[in-house]
Amino acid sequence: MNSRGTIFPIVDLILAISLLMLGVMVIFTIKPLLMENKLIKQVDEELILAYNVMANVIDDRKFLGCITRYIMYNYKQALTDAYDMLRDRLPNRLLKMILLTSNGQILGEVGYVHMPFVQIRYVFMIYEGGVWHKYVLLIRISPEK
Amino acid sequence: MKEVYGINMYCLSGFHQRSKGALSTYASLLLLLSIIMSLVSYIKVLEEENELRAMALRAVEVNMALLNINEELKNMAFVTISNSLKELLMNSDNVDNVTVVSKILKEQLKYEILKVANECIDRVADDYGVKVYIKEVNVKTIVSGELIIEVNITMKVKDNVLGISKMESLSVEYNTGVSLKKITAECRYTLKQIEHLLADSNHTICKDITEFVKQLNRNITSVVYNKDSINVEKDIEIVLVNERSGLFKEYVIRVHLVKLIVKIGINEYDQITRSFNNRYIDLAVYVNKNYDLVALVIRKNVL
Repeated sequence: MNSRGTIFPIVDLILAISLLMLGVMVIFTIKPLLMENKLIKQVDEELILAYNVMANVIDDRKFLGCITRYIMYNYKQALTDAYDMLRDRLPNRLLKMILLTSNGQILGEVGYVHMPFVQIRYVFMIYEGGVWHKYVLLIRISPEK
Repeated sequence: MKEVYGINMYCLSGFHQRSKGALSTYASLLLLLSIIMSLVSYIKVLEEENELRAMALRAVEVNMALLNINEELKNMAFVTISNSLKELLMNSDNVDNVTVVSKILKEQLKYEILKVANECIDRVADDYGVKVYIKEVNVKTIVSGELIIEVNITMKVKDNVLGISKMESLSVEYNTGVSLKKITAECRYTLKQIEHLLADSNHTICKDITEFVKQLNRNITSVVYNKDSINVEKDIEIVLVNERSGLFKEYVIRVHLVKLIVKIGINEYDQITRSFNNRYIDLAVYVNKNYDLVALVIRKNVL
């Protein structure tokens, strides 16, 4: 009887401690996961908005035309015009446009964003001097603070 | 100590109390365990939700990639068609044969578009983490009325992240604004008019051969059908074949029609504005025909 009396509380204690540890582990896992989930939700919404706006603006020949004009003639106003076209479609957002060559060299940039931001891209192929050249337009979007 | 049937009742009551306490402890532990288990399942649900969300977002990203690929392929196809069309029309010596022209254009475009698509599309797709395989390029030329070029591109798009493949097809139509049949009909008509004029001018008696050739030149120019759009390139050679005692001289005037230059409006694709502009180009329709006319120049005092 004595041995029974001492074994049960020890088993109970071990069980309770392991459950407590498990509980703590679960809570420590769940907290970052919930935060990640919240962040992913926000990023998703921002990215989907950015993609939708991009898809709409591509339909407008003027936007692509402005970027091409900037690439081919280095006509600065054209990049600003393209930026304004995007900005009109993205109220309450900060926006930055960066135009890169295929080597990653910056051709031009306009606007500014806060951290954190989401980034989408559009790849241009332009025929110049008998060769196709690649240019990448990066669009960064962040909520207005 | 109270004893009932030899059993120590105190011990029994203690045992009861302890078992009750143990039971409630186990019940609490079980409750805690079930709470933890439900939290674990909640974590799994959250993780799955995150995965699904990531997949949905990737799907949106792949759609954006497809939009970008389609738009750039369309641009590449239009630039290629526009360049090939201009090159073919400006250097062609057989525009007269509409079927041949459209066949050459069809074959040339099929090759060019496939080459450009294979060369460039990977460079667009790489940035999105997708791989594009061009399966087929079909080019169709419709020559009834204006020349229309239809291009169908079939491709397989594989997403490197999700490992999902998808078949996509892109169809573009390019109205060149060029009516090859109209051009050849106008050229034939013009040529026939010139032939009539030359036939009428054969065996002419005149006073001065230089004046005759000048007049002939003027007549050919004026007879050219719709002279704003067609011009004629020719060589005129004067050969003296016979001279009789200063009374008359017989000349053969060799008229060599080299080509007819037709000014045609074509819908040229401008990659800067990504739109079509109507532009006029000079199209040479090679004729290469010789006509011999006989002119008899009679001395003034004899005439």
